[in-house]
Amino acid sequence: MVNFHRIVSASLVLLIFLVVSKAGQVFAVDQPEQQQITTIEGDPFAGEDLFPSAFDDQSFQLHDENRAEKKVDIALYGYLETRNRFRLTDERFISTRQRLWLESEGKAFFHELPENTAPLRSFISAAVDYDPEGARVSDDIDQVRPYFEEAFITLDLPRFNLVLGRKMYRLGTGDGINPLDLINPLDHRDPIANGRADSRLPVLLGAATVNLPVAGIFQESSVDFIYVPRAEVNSLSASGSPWEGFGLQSLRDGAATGLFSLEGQDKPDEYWNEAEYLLRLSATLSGWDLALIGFSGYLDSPIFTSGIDAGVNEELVVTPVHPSFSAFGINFAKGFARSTLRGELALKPDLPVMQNSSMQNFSFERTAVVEGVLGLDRTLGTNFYINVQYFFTYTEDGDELIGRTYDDGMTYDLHDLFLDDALEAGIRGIVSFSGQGGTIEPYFSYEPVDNWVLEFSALFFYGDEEKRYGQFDDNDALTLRIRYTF
Amino acid sequence: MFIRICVPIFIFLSLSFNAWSAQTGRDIMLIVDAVDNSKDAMMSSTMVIERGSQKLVRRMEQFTKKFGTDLKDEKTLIRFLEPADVRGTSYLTWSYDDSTVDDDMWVYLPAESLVRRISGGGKKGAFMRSDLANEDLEVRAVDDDTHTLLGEQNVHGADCFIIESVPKQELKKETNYSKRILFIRKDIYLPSVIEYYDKRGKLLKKATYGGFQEIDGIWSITRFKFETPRRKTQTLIQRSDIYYNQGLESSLFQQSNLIR
Repeated sequence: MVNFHRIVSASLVLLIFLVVSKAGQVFAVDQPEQQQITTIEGDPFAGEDLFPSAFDDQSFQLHDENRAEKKVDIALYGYLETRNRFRLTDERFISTRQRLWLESEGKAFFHELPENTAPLRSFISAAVDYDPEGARVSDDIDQVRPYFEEAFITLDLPRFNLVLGRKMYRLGTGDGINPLDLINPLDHRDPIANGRADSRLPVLLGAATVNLPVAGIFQESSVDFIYVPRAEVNSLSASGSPWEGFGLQSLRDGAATGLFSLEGQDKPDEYWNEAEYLLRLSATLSGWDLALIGFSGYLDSPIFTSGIDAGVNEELVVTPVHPSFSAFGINFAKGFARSTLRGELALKPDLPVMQNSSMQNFSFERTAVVEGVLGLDRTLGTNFYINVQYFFTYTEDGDELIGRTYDDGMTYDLHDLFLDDALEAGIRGIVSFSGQGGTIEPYFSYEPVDNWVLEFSALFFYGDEEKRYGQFDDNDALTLRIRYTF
Repeated sequence: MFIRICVPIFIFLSLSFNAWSAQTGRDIMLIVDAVDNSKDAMMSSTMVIERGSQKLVRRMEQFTKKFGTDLKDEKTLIRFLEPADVRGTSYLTWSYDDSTVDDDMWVYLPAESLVRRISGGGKKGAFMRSDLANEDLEVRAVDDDTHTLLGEQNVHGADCFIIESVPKQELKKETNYSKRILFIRKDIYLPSVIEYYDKRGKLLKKATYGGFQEIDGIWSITRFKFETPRRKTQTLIQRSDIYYNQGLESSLFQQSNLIR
């Protein structure tokens, strides 16, 4: 059932964008005088009609001629998309999401040339999703959902950059698995972006970047400080959701049989007191990108603790919690003639790790965990692209705590271009070398003309149903996505 | 009388001939390389790719700043404005005159809010599905090729040098081309036509340049066309809003500046 307030919200979103778009026209000022130029004889395009005919359509207008005189410039764009996911196990759609996505980018110019990069910018993205089959399958999905995604302002000065608002802030040089990408939580409604990458949500943050003076072998150096006033963490998938994992499902089954009471998630909810911080010192030298990173925050994935309720029944109560932890590490990337080497190494010295537990006792221990990624991507021939990345996790006392000390695997993506580069076809996925299963996803993306994209993929999970990837084995699915961008 | 008139003419012609004959292909290419003596530049470009009845349009803005010894190295930032699905995507390249040093390249993907280092492995691939390869957008160092002056020819009403440029042995694997034939205007030392030959020595594509304008004292190409006869496709590019020596900040060309 579509709620009245959702329709009103969607209307408001559209209204805001229309008002903002109109404001841009109001603030635009007159066109400046044309630049004085000198031409010359012997020019094959001087008097011809080839270029005017090719560029005559309004959509082919050259870049805004009067931008140098503009004080405010606001652009509105977006896309319409249908994305339909057909689950093979029960031959039913688990998502038929129809999406209207709108983005607005604003620029305020306080000076004219030379930089021509607006020192003050804004960005807002918002969408309306309609997903009747998703809502049928999972309580996480509303049939109609209007929402804001990102909304932030940027102050961009020559040596200082400040971002305030709700934003994605991805960190990492690797692809698919990034041990130090700790700011944005997982999108529990739709956690799989593709066969080797997850899907994240923006958070409210402030991010400041200061470019440091460089000398000697240093070509670029900067320091970033990211502050999240209230940590945002992964939400648990609803009962019955395709993305409800094996462990969570078992817990809910246990709670249903009366073994214990399963409480709601104990998420960080206090601004300033439950904040996250990240500090990154980056440098480029001799073709190497290096970054030292320090993080203090809260565990995104919940772990479970139990205790006895001191009430009348002295019931066992299980609570999903998000303890704090810290992480330190290094990221690096180096480009070679035809290859790029990528790596990440993270030390999490006090990471909360859930112990092997029975259904009567849930607890966690803190231990040192080292996570790493080392990968290489390379273009062979003209367009054939290979990307392979090895990842590992070492858990101190892991045998005792979680049943294994070392966990490793590989992500991969191989693709090529066909039909004058209109068609990209390839295969990507994750394979675990530690018995956690994996994913494999053949895919193609076809862009016959500008603005239209058709994507098709077949995503398969495999492995033991209790393991990381195998637990979603029932979600093998075909996905068709058609997008029109405007 | 005859001697007084003819001897100076003879001497003048001899000197001119000697001067021309002494000028090598490399000498001419060094002059071509020095035409753009700006310290920085910014411009907007619109690219129309024509494939039969199909038209693809790309719009981008480009910022360039020279750096390093003798300002031979170059930093380039390209931001895409169209098509809509790549709007905001930015490429940052630091290219070095020394051919033994690999370029530093990064791409910013707004949808993923991520800056990624990339390599030059895709140089042979098409630039945004156009008739240009990625390598065609690079400024080639003069000594990446061996240049031979083949002669002169009038092209589109302008006298041109004909130069054959063959990639040095160690760089042959990095390019689509076995050679390029350049028709360089003798008056402003900009190309009028460049023919690109594939690895089998057959004509692969042809670029025609025009829209020559002297902007802030620098002769510039504002229009060019790439044709690929075998595919029966062509790409037209028009540049506008060209400004030189505006004192662009170095921070504009830092990877930390790429994020929206």
